[in-house]
Amino acid sequence: MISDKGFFVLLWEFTSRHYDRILSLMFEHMVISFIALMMTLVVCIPLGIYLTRNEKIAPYVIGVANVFQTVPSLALLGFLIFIFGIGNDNAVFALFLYAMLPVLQNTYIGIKNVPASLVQSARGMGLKDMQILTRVELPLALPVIIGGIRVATVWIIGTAALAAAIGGGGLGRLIFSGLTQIRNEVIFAGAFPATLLALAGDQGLKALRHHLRPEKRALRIARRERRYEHKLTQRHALTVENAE
Amino acid sequence: MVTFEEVSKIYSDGTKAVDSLDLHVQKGECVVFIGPSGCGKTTSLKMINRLEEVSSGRILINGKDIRESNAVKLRRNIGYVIQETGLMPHLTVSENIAMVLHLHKWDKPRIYRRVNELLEMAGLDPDTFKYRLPADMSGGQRQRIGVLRALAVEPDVVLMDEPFGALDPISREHLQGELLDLQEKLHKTIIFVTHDIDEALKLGDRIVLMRGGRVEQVGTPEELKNSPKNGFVRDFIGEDQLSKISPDASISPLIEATPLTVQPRMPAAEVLELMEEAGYEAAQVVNRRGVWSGMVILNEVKKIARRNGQVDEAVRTDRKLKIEDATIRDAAQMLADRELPIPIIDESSTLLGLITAAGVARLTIHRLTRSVRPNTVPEQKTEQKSGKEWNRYDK
Repeated sequence: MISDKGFFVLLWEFTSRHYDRILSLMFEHMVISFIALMMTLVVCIPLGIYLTRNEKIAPYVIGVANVFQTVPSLALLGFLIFIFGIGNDNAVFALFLYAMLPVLQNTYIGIKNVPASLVQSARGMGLKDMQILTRVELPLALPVIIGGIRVATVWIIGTAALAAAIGGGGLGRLIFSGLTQIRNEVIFAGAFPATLLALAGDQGLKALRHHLRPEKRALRIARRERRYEHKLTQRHALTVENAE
Repeated sequence: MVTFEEVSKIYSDGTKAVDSLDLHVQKGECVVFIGPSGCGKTTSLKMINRLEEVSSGRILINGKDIRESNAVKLRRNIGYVIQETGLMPHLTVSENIAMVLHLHKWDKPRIYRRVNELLEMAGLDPDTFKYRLPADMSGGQRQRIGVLRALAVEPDVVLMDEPFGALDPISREHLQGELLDLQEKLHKTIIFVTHDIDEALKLGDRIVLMRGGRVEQVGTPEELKNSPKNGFVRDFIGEDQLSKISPDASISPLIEATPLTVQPRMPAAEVLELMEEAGYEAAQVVNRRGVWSGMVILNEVKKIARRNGQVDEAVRTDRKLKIEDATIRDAAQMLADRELPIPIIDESSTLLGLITAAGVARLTIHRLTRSVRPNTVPEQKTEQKSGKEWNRYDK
C-alpha cells in the first residue's frame, strides 16, 4: 500500500491511530530485554567471580561465551527453535546467550585488576573471604562491571527487535510488518522507540556509574554524616538543657 | 609477647625462606627485621598473622600457639600496616579507619568517637580529613591513616611491613618521629620490617639482621654498631651510615652568617656604596625587628640609586628557602641556576643566614672524601619530588 501522502503525515496518522499498540509493544520490548538482562546478570556476575577463583577454566568458559556472541544473532534464534520452539522464551534465552560475554568478561577482568596489595591488606585486617569480595573486590571492580552491563544492555535492546522474526513480541513486530507492507512509517514507528530505549538504557547506566564514583560517594557521605553530627550536637544540647 | 620457636618456612618449590628462626619479642618492645631483599624478613612477619603458614616450628602469642585460634580472629587482634597501597581507594578516610571497628561490631556512635579521637591523635583535623578519599591526600598523610587503622582497636601486637618505604625522605622522617612519640605513649609490641638501616637504628629497641632466611645477629642498635658479630653485619651497618649526609638532609649545617644586612628605608646610593666597597653581589634587607623583607642585587640597586630611590624599591622575595622543609638538594639546585647566596628564613620570616655556593662545594668535597656510593632507588625517587618543591620556591 503506497500512498501519495508525505512520510511525516503518514507517520503522524499511524502513530495517532495506533499509539496504544506502539506503547504496549514498547512495554513488551522492555520486558523481554529486562528479563534477558537480569538472566545475564544473575548468571554471569557470579560466574565471573567464580572464574577469578578458578583461573584454569576461565579461558574455556569465556571462550564459550565468545562463541555465542560471534554466532549471528538471527542464526542463534534459528538454532534455538529446536529447543524452545517459536515465541518469547526462545528470544529471551537467545538474548541471554548473546549478551553473556561482556558481563562475564568485565566481571572477571574487573576483579582480577584489583591490586593484590589491597586484598592482602584486607585479609591482614581480618576480613573473611566473603567480606573481601563484597567490601573490597566488587566495589573496586564495579565501574568495569557496569561498563560490561552497558554493552550488554545496548546489545539486548537492539537485538530484541529480532525476536519478532521467530514469533516473539516487541517493537520488532512493527519493523517486520512495516517491511512486509513496505510502509516506511510503520518501520519507523518501531525502530525509533527501540533506538530511544537503547540510548536511555546506555545513558542510565552511565549516570549510575557516575553516581557511584568514589568522589561522589564521599561527598554524599560527608553530607549525611554532617547531618548526623548536627543531630548529635542538638541532642547533646537538649540533654544539657534538661539537666539544667 | 611473640615467640618464634624453631620456625621455618619452606615454599612448595623447595626454597627455604626462613630457616629455624628463634626469637622472643617482649611486651612493649619494637623489634625491627632488616636484611637484603629475599632474606625472609617479610615472610617472618606474615607468619605472625598467618598470611603465610609456618612450615615447621611454632609461633606463640601470649604463650598460645597461633595455629590454635582461627586465622581471621587472630588477624583482627593484630594491627597490620603495609606500604601506602593498603588503604581502600573507594572508601573515605573515616571508613578506612572504621573498617576494623566494624569487624569488631562496634556501634556507630562509638566508631564515630574513636575515629575522631584517632585523627586528632595524629594531628589531622577530623572535619577536614574524615570524608576525604585516600587519593586526595599526600603520601605521608595516607600512611598516617594506615597506622591509625592498625591502632584503632588497640591491638597488643602491631605488624608493620615497610610502612614508610614509599615515602619521600622528609615525610618518612616525620612519620618515624611520630611513631616513636606514639610508642612512648602506647607501648605496643611492634614488629617492623624495613630495608633501611637508618630507620632500623632509629626505631628499633632490638634489630634482627637476616640473610638468606637465617638470623645473622640480634641486638640493640648499639650492640650491632659496636660489636658486629661478623663482616656481613659490619658491612651492612657501616655502608649505610656513610649516607647520613644525604641530599635530602636538612640545610641547617650549611647556613653561614649574613655578611651584609641593610634597613629597608636606607637610600639606595648608600647601600650601593657598602656593597661595592666589600664586593658583594647581593645584600639582605631586614627591618628593625629582624624580619626579612627580601634581598637586593647589585645591578638593581645601581638603577634605583641613579634616581635617588630607597633600597626597598629593589627588594625581591622570590629567592629564599625555609629552614623547616628545605633540603640540601633544593639549595644546590637553586645555586646551580644562579650563583647568588640564598637567604634562609624560618616560619616567622626571621633571617637565619645564607647558603652560598662555596658552602655547598665544601660539603661536597667533605662527602666525596668519605664515600663514593651510587644512589639507591628510593633516593632517585625523591629527586623528582624535591625538584617539584624547589620549583615552588622559585615561583
